[in-house]
Amino acid sequence: MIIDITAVEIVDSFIGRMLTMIGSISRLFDAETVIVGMRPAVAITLTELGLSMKGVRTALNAEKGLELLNGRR
Amino acid sequence: MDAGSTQDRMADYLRRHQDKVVGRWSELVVASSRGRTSSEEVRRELTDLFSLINRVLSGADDHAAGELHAALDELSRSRARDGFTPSETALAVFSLKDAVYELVADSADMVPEYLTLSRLLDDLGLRTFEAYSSAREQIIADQSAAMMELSTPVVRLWEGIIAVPLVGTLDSARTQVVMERLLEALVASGAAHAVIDITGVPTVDTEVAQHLLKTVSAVRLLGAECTISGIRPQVAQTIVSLGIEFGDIATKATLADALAVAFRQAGLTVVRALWTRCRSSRSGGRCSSPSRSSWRTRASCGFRKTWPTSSSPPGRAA
Repeated sequence: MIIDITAVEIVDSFIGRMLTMIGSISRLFDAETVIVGMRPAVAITLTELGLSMKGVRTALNAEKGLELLNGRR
Repeated sequence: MDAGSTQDRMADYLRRHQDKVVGRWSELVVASSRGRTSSEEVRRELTDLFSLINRVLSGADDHAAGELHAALDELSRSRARDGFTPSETALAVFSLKDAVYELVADSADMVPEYLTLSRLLDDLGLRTFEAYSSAREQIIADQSAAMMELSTPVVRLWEGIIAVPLVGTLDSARTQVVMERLLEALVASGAAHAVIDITGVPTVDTEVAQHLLKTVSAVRLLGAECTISGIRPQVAQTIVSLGIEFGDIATKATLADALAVAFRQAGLTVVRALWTRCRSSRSGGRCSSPSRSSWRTRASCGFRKTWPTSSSPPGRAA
């Protein structure tokens, strides 16, 4: 599963937790989540909030995210 | 005796002895400035100040105080820029006390008038000092802003590999700038690897390490790999003795090692070309081969010949 958050400009701790939760829930179904297209400002906010999103894979853009998923198989 | 009349009398007295007082005042100031300002310049400045002080004392107009403060601020600022010490700057005002005291020392009836002037000059001296220190702070702020601009370049080492050579101590303001620049460069270039080189960072304490870790985790959130390089032996010792954990972040001793790791993760192999011998022959370095470099990189599926120093697997601390 690819979650594209290119259009997300502002995040809070709730969104961060939600994304992590989606990642861990989908792992229960043996599916892998890749979050792609995170903006620098969003990444800075998430690190400032102390959310390192462990267990969720990230990629720079959708193309790289697909590569990541294909490489897994 | 009311304050108004003593002020008036002092103003009157100063007006009558203007030349003598200003002359002596200039002498004192020039003597303390150790030849950094010419006596004509000082005299011109002090004459202006003197007439303003006189106007304030006589209470003739309301604008005099404001003008005097502006003139003093300007004087202090220029002294701060020219490298005068704070006491030299304040002495420029306090010397007037000495100059007047020498004149009125003999006449006992001038004591209240002299004290009025003295109080005014004390206030002005304090104001000079305040203006001086704010001018100095402004200079420091300008310089650190200029340093911030200079000290955070993001360089492209290879296609898909960028590096940030850090020089100087990391504080939270600088980390913020470095992080922003690095992340923007990652997004703009689409690079998958970032190397943070801390060769120029003098010491790594818990705070600096915290900032580094933050930057690395922000880079990872974007989906890129981050390596920290340039850890000198002393820095490594401090990191270990402080008990700082870098976790699964790859750390390397030199930028070359970090580049090798990035090459391997990107599936690139460095091989020595067979035709490099022609460079050392009589052609004098003007080789007509397709590439001037004796090292070439090419993509390959396996690692047929690896970089000499990359013996440790990627993702492990060196």
